[in-house]
Amino acid sequence: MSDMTQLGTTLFSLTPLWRGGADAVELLEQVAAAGCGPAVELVGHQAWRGFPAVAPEDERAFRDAVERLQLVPVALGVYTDLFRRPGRPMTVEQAFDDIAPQLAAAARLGFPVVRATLGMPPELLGRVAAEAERLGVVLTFEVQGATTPGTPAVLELVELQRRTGTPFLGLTIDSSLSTPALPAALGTALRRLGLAAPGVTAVHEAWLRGGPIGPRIGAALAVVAGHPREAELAPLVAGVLGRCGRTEPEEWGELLPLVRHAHAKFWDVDVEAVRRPHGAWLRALSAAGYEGAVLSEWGGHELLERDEADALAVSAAHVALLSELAGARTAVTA
Amino acid sequence: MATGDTVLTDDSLVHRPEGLGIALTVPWYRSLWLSSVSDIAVAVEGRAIPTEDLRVELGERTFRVGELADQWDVLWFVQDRLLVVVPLAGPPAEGQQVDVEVTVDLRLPYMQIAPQKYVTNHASNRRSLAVRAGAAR
Repeated sequence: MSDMTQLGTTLFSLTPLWRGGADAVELLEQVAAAGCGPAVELVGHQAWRGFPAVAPEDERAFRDAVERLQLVPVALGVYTDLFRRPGRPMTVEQAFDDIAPQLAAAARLGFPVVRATLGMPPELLGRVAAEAERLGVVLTFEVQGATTPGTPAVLELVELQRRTGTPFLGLTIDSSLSTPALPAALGTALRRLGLAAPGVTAVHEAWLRGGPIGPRIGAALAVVAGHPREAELAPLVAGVLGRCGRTEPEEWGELLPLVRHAHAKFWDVDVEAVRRPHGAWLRALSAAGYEGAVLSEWGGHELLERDEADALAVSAAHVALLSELAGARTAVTA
Repeated sequence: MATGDTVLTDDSLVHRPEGLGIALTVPWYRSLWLSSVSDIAVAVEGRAIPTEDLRVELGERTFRVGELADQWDVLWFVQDRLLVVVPLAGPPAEGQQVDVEVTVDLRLPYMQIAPQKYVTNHASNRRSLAVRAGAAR
């Protein structure tokens, strides 16, 4: 990682505060005050009512706030909701009309990069990538959790980038690709939903098995099958296990030159749980010459009650850890 | 999401002359289209309310639960409340504690895992809350 690399926080980590009614400027102020900057990422559909329409006064307020607070907008989360109409996927034309204004909003708000969900159909991908280039915004797709370098959507993206050579298409890499252990917070949530200790252990054992993620999730779903709260347990188990991958940074080596944005993902209040994998990812990105930002992303708000964790405090502790890890690396290589 | 405030919050119950208003939060981290809501189930004091009796209000608009699937261009902003209006023979008074259970099934419109099959979130909260006056936030 070069000295140019910035650390910061995605405001997704502050989901409880968004849901509680805070607006973008208030949260930027809190992020700056807590030392969670300077880099910031926002999710368009979380930060502004009516997004991608953002009122001129809201746009101005956002730009003024980042300047005043010396924050750096590095990425905006955008979405292709291909299945808005149940049973009838959008046509390429409709999907393009849906996402193009989101890219334009990113450009207006001052975000150089957008982060989208992996899996855009190839024809749409080509059109959206061209639109991103026209707007001067880098279109990235997030690789996270159980995604592997051989996942078809990753291969399609890499193929398009190599064919076009465009610098406006790339990856958001998420450290959840390398998760050494399921988060402690998952156990907390499973127990709250009434899963007894042997069941919690069995879910962990299912994740620890070898082989592809599908059968491992299947084994974990079998553990909660028939439980009175299966309907809640099942998406929780599948959702978290699918986002806890077990590939190592080295396996992504060939693709690292395509990384334009990065997340350091964690779930637990004790940030020490991610010291080793996050250190490994910082080193791997550094070795690949990565000069973008690395943003702290806390997902524990999905699992922990509001009185069990303070989103800003855990984010600040994690950014401090990343800073230490990045500094240690610089000292070693200087 | 699997937390106690996924669907209900402390101020969710609102007095309504026809019964009870229950203000719901989006059980997800971002705004979603109303067409993502595939079902809403409500029980008051342990008694399940027939789905066809429920009305759902977002701002000035009112829908039946069965009409939500067609609302693919109506965005439920993450900070807005969906007010479920439950008809009750004896509307609870302001300040009265009422035991409510609400379950929302949410279909994530950007995550199809097989034809016609989507990643879903089944969010359920059961709480005893005091009924407030006036409209929900």
